Amino acid sequence: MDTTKYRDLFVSETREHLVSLNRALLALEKNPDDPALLDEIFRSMHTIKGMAGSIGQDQIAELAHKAEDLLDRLRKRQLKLAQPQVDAIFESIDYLESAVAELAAGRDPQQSLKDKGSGLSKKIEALAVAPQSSKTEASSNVSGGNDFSRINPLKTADSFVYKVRVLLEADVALKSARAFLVLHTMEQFGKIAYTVPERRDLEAERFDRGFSVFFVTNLHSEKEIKSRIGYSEIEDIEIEEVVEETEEEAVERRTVSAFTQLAQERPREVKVSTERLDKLMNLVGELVVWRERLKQLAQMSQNTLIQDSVDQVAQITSELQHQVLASRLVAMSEIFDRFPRVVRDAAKVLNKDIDFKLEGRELEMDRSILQMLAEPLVHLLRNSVDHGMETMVQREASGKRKIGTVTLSAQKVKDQALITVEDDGRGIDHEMIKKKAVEKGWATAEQVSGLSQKQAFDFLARPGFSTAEKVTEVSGRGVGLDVVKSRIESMGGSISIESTAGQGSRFLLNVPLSLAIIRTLLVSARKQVYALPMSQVMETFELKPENVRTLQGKTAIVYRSQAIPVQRLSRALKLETEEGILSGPTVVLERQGSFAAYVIDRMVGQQEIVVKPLSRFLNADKTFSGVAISREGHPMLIVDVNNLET
Amino acid sequence: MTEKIASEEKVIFNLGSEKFALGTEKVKSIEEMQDIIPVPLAPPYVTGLINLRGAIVAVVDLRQRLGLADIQNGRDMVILIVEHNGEDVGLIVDRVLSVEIFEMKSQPVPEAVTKTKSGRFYLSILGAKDEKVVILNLDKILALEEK
Repeated sequence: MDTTKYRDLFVSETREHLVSLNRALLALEKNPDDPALLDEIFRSMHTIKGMAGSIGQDQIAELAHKAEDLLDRLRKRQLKLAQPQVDAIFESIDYLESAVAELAAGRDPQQSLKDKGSGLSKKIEALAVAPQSSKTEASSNVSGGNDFSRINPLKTADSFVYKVRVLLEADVALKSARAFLVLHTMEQFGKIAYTVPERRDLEAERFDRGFSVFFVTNLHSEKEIKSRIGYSEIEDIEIEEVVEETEEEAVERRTVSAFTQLAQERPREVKVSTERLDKLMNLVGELVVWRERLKQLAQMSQNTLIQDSVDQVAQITSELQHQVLASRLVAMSEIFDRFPRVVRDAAKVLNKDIDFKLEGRELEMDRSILQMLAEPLVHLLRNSVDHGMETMVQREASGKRKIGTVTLSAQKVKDQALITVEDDGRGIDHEMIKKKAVEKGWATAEQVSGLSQKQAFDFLARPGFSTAEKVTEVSGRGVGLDVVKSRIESMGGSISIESTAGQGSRFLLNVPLSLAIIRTLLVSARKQVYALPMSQVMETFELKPENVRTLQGKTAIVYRSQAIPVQRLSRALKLETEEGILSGPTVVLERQGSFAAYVIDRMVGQQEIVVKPLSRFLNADKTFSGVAISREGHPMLIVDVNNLET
Repeated sequence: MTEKIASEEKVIFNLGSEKFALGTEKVKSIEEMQDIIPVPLAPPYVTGLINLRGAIVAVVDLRQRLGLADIQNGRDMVILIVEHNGEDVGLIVDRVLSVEIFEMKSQPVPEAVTKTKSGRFYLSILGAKDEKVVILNLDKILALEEK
């Protein structure tokens, strides 16, 4: 059987399970007595085992199986949870991660990895050996295969076999009683071969909300069966006729069912590749451009019928744009849930004890922005654990709680996400930073003495700055805050640092929540069209030469009774050096509280545009914040007014 | 550097009269020359941006990047779209000659050549003097340089 088509699905599903495994296991380490966590871990392992087995990844299935056995014993309290077992399960998660990564790359795991896997399997098996319980429960066969040895004896010439899947409502008070009633009702018009989970598990309430009944009846109407079972406290009933199948069919179906079962758990969601989402976004971007063009033409036509239709199309386009943007949103937890493990591992290497707090997991933001955030956040967290946090001895000596706290939080502030990484470690000594800046020759001692704390922290994000005395495994070398800063800025965000020596540090990241669609004023300079964010355009007017003054060698005009600099836009963009006489169409732009005026060649119009990131080749200076597509279909640069030369 | 057998498929193209090559696995498409929107303040070897079916792609003047003489060829110029670090980038070349499978040993770049302005972007050399084809090192060509 061809299993490659299930491989991608296996990879993505397993990765999701690995994320939740990591999260649950970390929580379990802190709360070893929480049975719900053990159950969750057990279930994830079990699912991975089933899926791996069905696509022929026996090695993975084997390891997951051994881990599942171990977890089962822990769950049944035949074994007591201890550190070696937790570590072994972490190790298996790591192993599974690397094996899945191999599969994702289209390779079968290499021999060395396989050896590691079987070594690990043995290790876990050994850990699972414990005081034997008197009853060794045969592991219930939930592989999805229909057990005809239990069905066939009940069949008669005119009977039919059905698999009836019942999903109880979420808040049913007595699940086992409800399940009993369903089974009892069904026995009125047929015979039950068996149930999954088994009947005694149903009676003991050892099931979630759903169960399947293999049912033999003379009725041959799914509708009829459904209505006889009734709907009281039942969310859904699915019925399918079951026919005994060949061995080959059984294998095929088992593979599919492992996945459809998963799919049934989340029937409202569909996986869409990010590539497809990006394409959709590009198309909507083009559509928005053409909507604007159409609007313009409709206006020119002075035909109200056309104008009305265009208005309709414009409205639908706006809604479509909104929906596409919304479909790209994912919860922060998508990346946040990986971090407890990052912090734990870093802390372990450094022999520090850290209480890691996550806030705002549920905040949603655009997938591509979120993906770009992952790396900078890992960096900041590792920095906090490594450099920010003192050793336990140091903490005790300075009268602090031995366990350090690192908090990662996300919240929505206006249209942006504010993400903070905070620690209660040693803080950053701004005097030391100033000293180092002088050493590096970035500033003179005089210059730095006048700098505020905040300004001193800006040195931290310069390439080549590193205050760590020694290189550690955790933070590595050479990659500093400068990388974080440039990454955040390339996403249209900003970073700032707050810190009090001895008390801790806080890194604040401001990033957009979704890909921006902004209103812009289009202007031309030297035959090229540039987009200016409308939010920063204060005024446009025709500049007369006599209104231009020269102050300290710079040209200026009076705007709102203050002198503001004025120059040609083409000069600010270094397209020309000659100034000449300043006159003609002019825009006044606002930049963080101050104003500057630019003389342009002409006004082109207004347009709503979808901001696309600028290629990294062009990211180096911050003159442009992004790029968009013009009505004529050409790339059009968006000026970052804040970084435009005055 | 050791000799190795190059049996991969290569796209062979001209820059001036010299022949250069890139592995076909690196070239996503070959696009006609089109309007390129210049970007103020960009590095000199970046010609500008094009709209490639809704995606905006930066275009590098390969000749200028390699420091070769600026002879405009004009008509046959095309843009090779390559993928690098997850980003599509366009490379302007004078003419695409062929796509060929080479089954011969590639030679290391002589040390003297690696020190020339264009030589540092060479990966290896295929063939003898007259039919020499230089395989380019895309990573180096598209590496960002500190200002």
